[in-house]
Amino acid sequence: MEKERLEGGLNENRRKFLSKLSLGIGSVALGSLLIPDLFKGKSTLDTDRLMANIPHFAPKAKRVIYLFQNGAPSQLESFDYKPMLNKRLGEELPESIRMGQRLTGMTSGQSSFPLVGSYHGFKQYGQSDAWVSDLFPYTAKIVDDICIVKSMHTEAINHDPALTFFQTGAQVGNRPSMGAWLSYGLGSENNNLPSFCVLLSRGKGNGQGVYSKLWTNGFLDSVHQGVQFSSGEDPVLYLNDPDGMDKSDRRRMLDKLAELNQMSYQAFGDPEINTKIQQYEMAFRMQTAVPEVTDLSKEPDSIVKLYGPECLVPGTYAANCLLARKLSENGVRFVQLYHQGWDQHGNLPNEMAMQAKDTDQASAALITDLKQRGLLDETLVIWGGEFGRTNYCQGRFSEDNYGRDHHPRAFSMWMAGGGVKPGTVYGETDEFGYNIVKDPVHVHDFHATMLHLLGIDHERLTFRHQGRRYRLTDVAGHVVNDLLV
Amino acid sequence: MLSEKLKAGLGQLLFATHMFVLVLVVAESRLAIPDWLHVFGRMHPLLLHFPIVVLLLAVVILAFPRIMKDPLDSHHYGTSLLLLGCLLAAFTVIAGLLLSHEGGYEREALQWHKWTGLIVFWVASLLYAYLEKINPKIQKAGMGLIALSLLVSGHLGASITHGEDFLTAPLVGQREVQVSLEEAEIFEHLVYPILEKKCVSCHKASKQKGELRLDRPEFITTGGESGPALIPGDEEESLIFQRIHLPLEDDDHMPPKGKPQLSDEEKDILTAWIRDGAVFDQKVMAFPDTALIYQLAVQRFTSKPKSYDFPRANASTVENLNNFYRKVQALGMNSPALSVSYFGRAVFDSNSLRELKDVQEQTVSLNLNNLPIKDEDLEIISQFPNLERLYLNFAEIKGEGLSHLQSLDNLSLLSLSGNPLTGEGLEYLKNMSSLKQLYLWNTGLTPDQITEIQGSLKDTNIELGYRDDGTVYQLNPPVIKFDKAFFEDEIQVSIQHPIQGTSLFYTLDGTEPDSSNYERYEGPLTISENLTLKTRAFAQGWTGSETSTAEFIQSKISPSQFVLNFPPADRHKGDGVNSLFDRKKAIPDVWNLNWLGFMNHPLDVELSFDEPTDINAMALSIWFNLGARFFPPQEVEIFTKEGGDKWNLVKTYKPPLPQKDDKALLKQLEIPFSAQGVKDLRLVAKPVPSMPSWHGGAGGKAWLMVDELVMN
Repeated sequence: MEKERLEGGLNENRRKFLSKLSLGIGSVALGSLLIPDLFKGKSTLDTDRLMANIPHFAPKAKRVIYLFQNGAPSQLESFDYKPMLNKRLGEELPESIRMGQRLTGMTSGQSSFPLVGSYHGFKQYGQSDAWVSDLFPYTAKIVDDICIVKSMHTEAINHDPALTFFQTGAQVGNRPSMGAWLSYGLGSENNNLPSFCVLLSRGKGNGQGVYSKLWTNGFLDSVHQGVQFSSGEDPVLYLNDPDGMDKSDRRRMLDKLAELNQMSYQAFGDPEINTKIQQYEMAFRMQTAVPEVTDLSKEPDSIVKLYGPECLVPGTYAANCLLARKLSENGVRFVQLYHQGWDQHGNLPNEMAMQAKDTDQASAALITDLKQRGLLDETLVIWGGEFGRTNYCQGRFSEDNYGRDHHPRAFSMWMAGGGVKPGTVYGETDEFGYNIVKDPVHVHDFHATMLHLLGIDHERLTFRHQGRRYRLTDVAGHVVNDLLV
Repeated sequence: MLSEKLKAGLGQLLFATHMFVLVLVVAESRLAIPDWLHVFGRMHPLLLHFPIVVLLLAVVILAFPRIMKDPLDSHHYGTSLLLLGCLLAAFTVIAGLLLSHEGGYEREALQWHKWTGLIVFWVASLLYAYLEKINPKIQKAGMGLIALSLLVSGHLGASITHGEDFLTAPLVGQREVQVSLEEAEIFEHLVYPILEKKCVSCHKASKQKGELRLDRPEFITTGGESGPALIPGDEEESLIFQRIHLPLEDDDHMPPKGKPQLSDEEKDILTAWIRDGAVFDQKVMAFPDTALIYQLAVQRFTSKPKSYDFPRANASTVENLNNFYRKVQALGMNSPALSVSYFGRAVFDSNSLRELKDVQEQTVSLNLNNLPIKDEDLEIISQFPNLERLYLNFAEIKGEGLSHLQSLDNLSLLSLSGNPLTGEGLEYLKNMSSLKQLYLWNTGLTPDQITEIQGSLKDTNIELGYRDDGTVYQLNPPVIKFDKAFFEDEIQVSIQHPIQGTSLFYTLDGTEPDSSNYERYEGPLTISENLTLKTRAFAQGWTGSETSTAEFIQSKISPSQFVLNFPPADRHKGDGVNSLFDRKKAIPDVWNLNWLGFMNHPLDVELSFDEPTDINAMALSIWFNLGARFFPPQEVEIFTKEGGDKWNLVKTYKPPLPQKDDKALLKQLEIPFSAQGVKDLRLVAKPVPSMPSWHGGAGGKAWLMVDELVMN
């Protein structure tokens, strides 16, 4: 402890002093330009004030709910209808289509790549005549409210890098997650709740892990880190005061604690200490804010039928969708759901059906629910996984039982609300569902578009770290204007 | 009408004006006009109406004398009017000539206007002077010429001021299509309109000056007699760039002197377009944000956020209004408009809305969802004159207070979902025709009342949201709650369901509960033997749930110490050896931390008991799943240490081999072993080393998945 304190002093003298000197003077000067009355009032530089020039333009969306389908749901059994694969069932994937693309270690040893079509049927729905698989009857009903993108592509071929890429814009896990970027860029709407919340659920299908690095703040201040809600009955643990302590005791305790923390901040100057103080304060306010959010008593009975009865079972996808709506309604900028279990290397027709059953109704319900409250226009909802699945069979092949390997070259997602053009289908893949033939959308493009909807120019939301400026879109990304209203 | 004396005087004046007009016409632009005369020049648009009317009247009276009561009067009145008309024409012409000095008019149209106007003035004057002396045919011809010139000149003049197609515009319809920045094509919407306006009139199919056409992309690239009109990416070498940047006096300057010139912005757009590749078929948005052409396009199309004419609120006022429960923020950079959101039902006080007094003019969006707002509070909201979006979901509004919102002329979105509305507010809602979106889900209004509103608000999109359409859904299965499934003596089990009012049916004999085979759950169950609990939920308006199942297994004996000789595989290492005796049942899920998995090493566990213990029954709780390669052990060996320190093999058991079609399940693999007074025991269960030939992984090693060792 003593050693740390001494070294803290050394750090202060050397590295921190130097970086503070340059960065500090620079940012104060910049700040005074951006905020003319910076020196008139409070002297603390909080994020909200520094970021006062964001949004860059009037935003269409104020908040995001990202329904991440972790494990990569098959596009060929959901939104990308390829009857050709059924016609040529069992035939070898032509080399002219595959063109020597890399495979995962799981199928690279396979001697044959038999094409396999969807076991589940497809029908057309809505004014956009969008094809939707029979596994998603509820999504089919809201097809005129969503925009299906069939031409997503990514760079990674395995779960963890692909997931990390989607969440942070880089395959290596040290960058801030998109929710953290938004928290940094737009600040919190409701200061009593974290601006970035994470909700987890598991399906019955083959699953892949999710790790807290996916909602990391990276090099941003740790107030921007995603707050993971518990899947149990209390979404936020330890919110209640212990027996024998009432609100005013808690308040006095926190005040004393803040004094102590303030003293150690004076001594060490570590900004993380300030973050800590703020987080204690937020936790105090969350003691009243969270029970209000999680209280279902104000919800009309029809909500249970809308989302399905599972929405009352904590930790399920349906319950998380309902909670996501409530958090978003209460000003949480970014609600990130992960639903695990979409990794169908085998037994796909069956597992995919179970996964769809667990998620379809609640996903659609979320859209309907936001819409009936007039909130869909300012809330962007995103549904999708980290990549797609191959058009050929992995493992033993039969018409009604097959598997699909990872396929990053083409997959489907949908978005709704928040300025996204409703009732549209964007992009096309070839007849084999293998390559994109029209309007490709890269993950960086997706990020740029999402930021654009939130009123942020993706090239201007930057953070300087280790000598260079970083962006969510790295050095790429184009806004896909065809997706915008 | 006019006395002869006056006529003579006015005739003199007319002559004088002729002289002045001649000077102006001959001298043209060589004359410097003093400022005060410009004022007179600008009266041209006013003056011109008089000669038109007076001259036409004179011409009509002179040409058709019979329309007068006494035809002789026609000559008398006609000449007087003609004289007055000439004089009025003279002043109009002088004013017009002066005005033309100001420039900025399209040369071609102006020339025609000028000369036709002069023709009117001169011919009318000649006609007046020689009316008596010429024959009636020439008289009539002169009158016709005056009338015709008047009309032509008038029309040309109108075209100059109001635009060329002003007259015909209503017939042609709205030609200009408004495009947003997002939609805009770089050529079609940004570049071509400039060419069309300033270049195409001379460079088109019917008039190809310099053999150049600029009306179609392919002709632009081909160019004219001097070569291609442009070189993509190199503006300096492009003829268009060179010609438009030559000095105005240069003969090659385009557009030629006297034609409408390009503005600086238009020149910049053409230049930037060439520099960024002169593409014809891309959207503006396809260009990088840093491209010059993109930035110019943004300026031109700036998806003009609605502009507001109210002043910006003081920044520190806005800052001070923000607190933990209220967020006041600008709609966007450079926008004076504010959006206000409130949070926190528990701490809300409607008086805090009054604190927004200083920004009530700027507030265009107000979010008051889930707050105890009452009808009377809406009166405060009526003081936000520019409010456009008002969210009042799940407040406490009955309807009376909606009268206060009628004065909000700009209100386009009103969300009232979840309010206990009564008929009282109906009339007010029906009057709010400014609404584009109205949200009335879950409001307690009857279908008739809603139809009534829809009837009055024809242009409003009324969202009614989800309504229970009577579809019968399936209940979700009940939740079985207990401590640990492996119990010593007895265990308390309760069954719960999240939906109030469901009936919970259960069985304890392993059969499926249904309407003929069930016990109704009334309270916690006490279980004291091995059994399987199956339960389903039923409720009015729902179909019965699927079955929830839990297996309870008695395990009386726990060793005091235990140790594994080989660790479990890394993938399924559970909680180490403790998992074997923690009394927690694992679920069929490879991520479950209660599973211990063995493949390369056997499960080899040594147990010791403080007291000599009698063991009557033993079972391994395993997961059997052929697809996942989870097999029962090949062989189980049991050792004891009777009379010594060495392990003696006392039992070898080979479980029956699984068959190809066996279903996956969790099972208790009974090991037929019993012994009295055991102090030390060792169990070795060996995973299948080579899977049978009918299995997809034939010959490979199988997993042995164990979650508990049961002893009674």
